[in-house]
Amino acid sequence: MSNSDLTRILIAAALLICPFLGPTMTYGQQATEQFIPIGYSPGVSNKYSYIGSIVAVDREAHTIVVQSNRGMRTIRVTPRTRIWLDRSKIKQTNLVGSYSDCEEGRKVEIMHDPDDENVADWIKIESN
Amino acid sequence: MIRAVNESRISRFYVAVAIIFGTSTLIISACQTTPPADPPTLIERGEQIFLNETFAGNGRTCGSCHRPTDNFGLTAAFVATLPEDDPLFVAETNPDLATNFENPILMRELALILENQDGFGDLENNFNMRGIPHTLALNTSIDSRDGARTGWSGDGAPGDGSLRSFATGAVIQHFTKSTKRIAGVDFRLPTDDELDALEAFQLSLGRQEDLELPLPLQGIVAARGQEIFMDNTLGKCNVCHFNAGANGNPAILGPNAGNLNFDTGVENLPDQPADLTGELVPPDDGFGSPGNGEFNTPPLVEAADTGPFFHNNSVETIEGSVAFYNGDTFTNSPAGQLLINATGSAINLDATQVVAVAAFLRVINALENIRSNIDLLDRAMRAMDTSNGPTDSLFDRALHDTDDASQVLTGGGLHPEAAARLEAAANFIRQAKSTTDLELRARYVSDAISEQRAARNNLSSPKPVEGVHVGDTDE
Repeated sequence: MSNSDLTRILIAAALLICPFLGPTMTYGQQATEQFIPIGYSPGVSNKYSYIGSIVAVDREAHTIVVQSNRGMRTIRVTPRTRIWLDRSKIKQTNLVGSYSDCEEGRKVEIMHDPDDENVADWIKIESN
Repeated sequence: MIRAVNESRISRFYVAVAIIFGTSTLIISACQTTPPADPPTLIERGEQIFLNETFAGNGRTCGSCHRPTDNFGLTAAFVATLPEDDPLFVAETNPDLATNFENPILMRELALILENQDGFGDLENNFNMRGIPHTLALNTSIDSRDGARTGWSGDGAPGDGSLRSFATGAVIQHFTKSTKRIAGVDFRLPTDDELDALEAFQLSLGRQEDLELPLPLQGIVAARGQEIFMDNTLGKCNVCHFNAGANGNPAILGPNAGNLNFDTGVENLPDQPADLTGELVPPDDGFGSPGNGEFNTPPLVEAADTGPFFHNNSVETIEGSVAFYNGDTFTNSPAGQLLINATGSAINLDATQVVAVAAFLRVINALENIRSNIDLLDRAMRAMDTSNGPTDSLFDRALHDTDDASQVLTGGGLHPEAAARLEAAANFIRQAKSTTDLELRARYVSDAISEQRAARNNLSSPKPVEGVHVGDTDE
């Protein structure tokens, strides 16, 4: 087998695996994101995320409505959405939260899923 | 009497004049302004932050793990030279970090660092032990179709996942005063300006462009190793490590393939040193959370002097790391199977071929060290000319890299003449560093550069072949 034949085969193989190498994943490492206070996520806060208050929660639809500086927005919370309780203002460690922590009136920062702007990738909820 | 009075008056006159003159001189001196030093560049500010800024944490800096005189990485041999109060060992000196922050045994024996890639919910059981990758040639090695790939699994940074954001995650993971990790209490987060400067500094380190293989190598074994490396039916190395870098071959993996992640099965290697210690080493699932088993492709030019190899420091030698791709572990891995499906066979090199590929990697590493040394020594010369900044750190790095280049060659039984030239260069650098005579120092530096160039010419043809790039030109 010549190198050019092999190259063609490898290109075909690469095209097969390309969907798995595609932009379906985010590279932001979410472990340490937990400890970054609302508004301080590097390259994300005030650029891609929106910060505001929860004005409505629909438990059946698993959505929340947020009023932010970028307007009103409804966003879906899925089992993949990471939720953290930001307690840095009260000098406590930040915790992993859950959908039940999404309550009206609470300040939040929401980063949407890179593949679906209507789905929350992560939510930080200010905790007092 | 009159004469005495007159003498007294005259004396007072002279004293007054002297006082006025002296005071005026002092005032004038005080008012004279020396020309202000040039403000530090973004890269220089980044270097200061990288090496000195603790971010109000446990005392560590970025340089605690990414040591300038250990190729901006960290080896167990280097760890063994550190004093007991070095901030690297905070887990042994700070009671708040005594548990679930580091494993001192694995840190001291294998230079492994604890990472909580999959979250901080179960600190006792859910962690990874990873080596410390060098931060050289990042400008050539982290871009992919889907954004930056940082750290061993390509997902090392929080926020937008960029190299700029990496420092924020590192501070939270490694700089904290306690495992509570409260921003503003256990550390402070880097500011935007600091992140900009850190990114600029890191991108400035090492190679700024990839090689263009093949190189006109002088040594027959390394030259054969280069052929095997580039042969897509034999070594197949150039598919994923195009031009011995960290990017996929665009002719095979598509234009702008960039840096790719693969599951090569390293986690499944038997008899890994960390496992042999008996310490708890949970499996590392690589990219994502939960992970998909994939890890990032590192550049190979910098490999030979930055072992141990792979994300878990599981293989000590460059020959062993080449041989890994012959073994069942790689062959049975997803990446190995992909290669077999595409090419019809596994990688199957004999011992002489393994050593030849390793020899090639050793020689290109030595060439890169020489390129870097000449650059460092040039910078030291310029710093001397302008009295602009300390030169000791430049000499230290040049000395370390020169020793590295020499050891990389002698460790493979390669190019004894080049190794001797490099040892001569190292002696000149030591003399340059120790003398206070600037003229003499300049001469030593010049001699060191000449020896480096002679060594380079022994490794690779001094006359560049068209289209072949072997580093800097002589002038």
